[in-house]
Amino acid sequence: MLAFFSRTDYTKIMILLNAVSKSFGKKKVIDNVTLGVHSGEIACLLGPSGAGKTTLIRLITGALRADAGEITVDGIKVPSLKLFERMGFMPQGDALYADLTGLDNLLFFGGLYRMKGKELKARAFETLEMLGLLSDKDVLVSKYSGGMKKRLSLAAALMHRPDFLLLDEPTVGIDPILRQTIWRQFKSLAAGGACIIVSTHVMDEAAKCDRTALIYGGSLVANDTTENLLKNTPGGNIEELFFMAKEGKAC
Amino acid sequence: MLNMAKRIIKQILRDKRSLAMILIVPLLLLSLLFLLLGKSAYVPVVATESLPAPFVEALQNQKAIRVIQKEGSETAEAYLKSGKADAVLSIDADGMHILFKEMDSVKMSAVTDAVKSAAASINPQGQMNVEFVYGKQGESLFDSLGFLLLGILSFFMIFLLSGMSFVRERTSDTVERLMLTPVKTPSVVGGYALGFGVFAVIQSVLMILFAKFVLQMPFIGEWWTAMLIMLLLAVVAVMFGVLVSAVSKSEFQVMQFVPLVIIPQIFFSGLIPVETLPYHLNFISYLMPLYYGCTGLKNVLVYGYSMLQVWPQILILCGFAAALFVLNIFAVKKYRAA
Repeated sequence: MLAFFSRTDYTKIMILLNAVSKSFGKKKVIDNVTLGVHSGEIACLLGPSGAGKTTLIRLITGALRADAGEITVDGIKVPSLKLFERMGFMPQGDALYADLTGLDNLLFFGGLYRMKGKELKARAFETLEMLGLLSDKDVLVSKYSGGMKKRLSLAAALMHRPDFLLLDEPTVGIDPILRQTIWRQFKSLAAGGACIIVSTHVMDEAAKCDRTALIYGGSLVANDTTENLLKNTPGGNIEELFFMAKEGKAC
Repeated sequence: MLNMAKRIIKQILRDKRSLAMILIVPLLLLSLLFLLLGKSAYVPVVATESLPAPFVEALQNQKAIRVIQKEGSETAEAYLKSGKADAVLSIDADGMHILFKEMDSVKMSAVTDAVKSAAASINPQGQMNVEFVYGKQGESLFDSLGFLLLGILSFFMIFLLSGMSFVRERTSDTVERLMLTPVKTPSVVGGYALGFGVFAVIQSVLMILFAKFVLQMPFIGEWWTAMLIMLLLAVVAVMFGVLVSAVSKSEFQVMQFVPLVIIPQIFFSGLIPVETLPYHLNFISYLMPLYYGCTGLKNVLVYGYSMLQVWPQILILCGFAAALFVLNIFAVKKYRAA
């Protein structure tokens, strides 16, 4: 169950959250979260719906500002406009323009990173090919299937070849075969040195990650390499880990 | 059925904006119309030109008008165009002539009633001829208000289109993705203005050409100046649309802003002559971009003003666009903390 092809650089913490808290009104949705993710590492934010995964991802992206604590990416304090250049973000929704073709979507999002002309077009084709969408490049996104939209959404996040990727439930609603394809992509990106944080509520996806951070009720109840967490879990079952966390037994 | 009704009642009660739209907004609009369509306190100025002294005296006794003696050698048309009076009254062999600058029902009824009443004491059989500097007797309502419709329709459509488009960015999460890229916020707002601006240019050309050549609206001014005004008005409409959708969560909520953002602007656009609005409500018009757009269009298309003569309207519309642009930057910035 170990992460395959892992080229984690344990000498370099890319994303660091230090005692981060966030409230919406009186409700504390993130409570004192401390977490470090290395370059080349795939970290999984695992937790049930409403645990605070999306809020945590949005705090790291810079869409939200933490009320307390500090987040840094490669030593740069979040939120920072500078980091947007190096960040790839895939929101929970598809976040695509349904009335444009797949290619037009990528050309638009790539253009936001100041890519132009032939370079932009070549990158869009390359990314479409990488995600198996080249033959559907001229099809309107409204005609895409759910899985195709997910892949295009990932493609939009990868257009500028980011150093770190924040993926909010990227495989939700995706069939198992396609999910495997997408995970293969993540692995290959991490192997290339990218730091990836994936949020999910699907237990077995954690097993595909190098690190698992278990989030429950806005707090981090477990955080270690997936290998270590599994070792310390009865039966080596991630699901067990989640129930232990719920009962307050997890580390 | 009861179950369905119960659900709808619950939903509306929870949506405070819908509740306000159903219960409060109609009352607000009704009050506004009550004020706008109330009895005007405007007293038209009537300039008399070589009238017999007893008639002038009889006119001066009429409280609904203010009578002045036309001075200088300029023509009655020029006198009215310069805004020195609302009507010029003269007498010749054909009878009495009242010349108005344009068709304005409030001014016309006040002046004609006063003149009729004054004339009754002197010569009840006298013939009264009503003429206009701009427009002519028997002109259709569409002919005299067409220029307003150009401004109002263009503003309304562009507002709706841009508002819906931006709120769709919100509902489809694209705005979040967009705002987490290095794109600068002014570029997002400017891009919207430019994108819709292209269609606004096409729309204004089409509307003006259609009105002039198909509907035969009596335009006398430079169509390109009118187009520029329509374009500026469209940019302001886009800015309004983006601003409204930045605080709306759905297309439905954008629609809810129409009675608040669009309808009052239509009331104060000049549809009801601003000068004669009761209760001194005309000051509200000066806060409405649509008023400046429609006034500019009227000045160009009806009065034949050149671009140099409508610069105040052009400048004010530019000011509105710039101010709304800045407001939008703040509204859109909320999608990123940086």
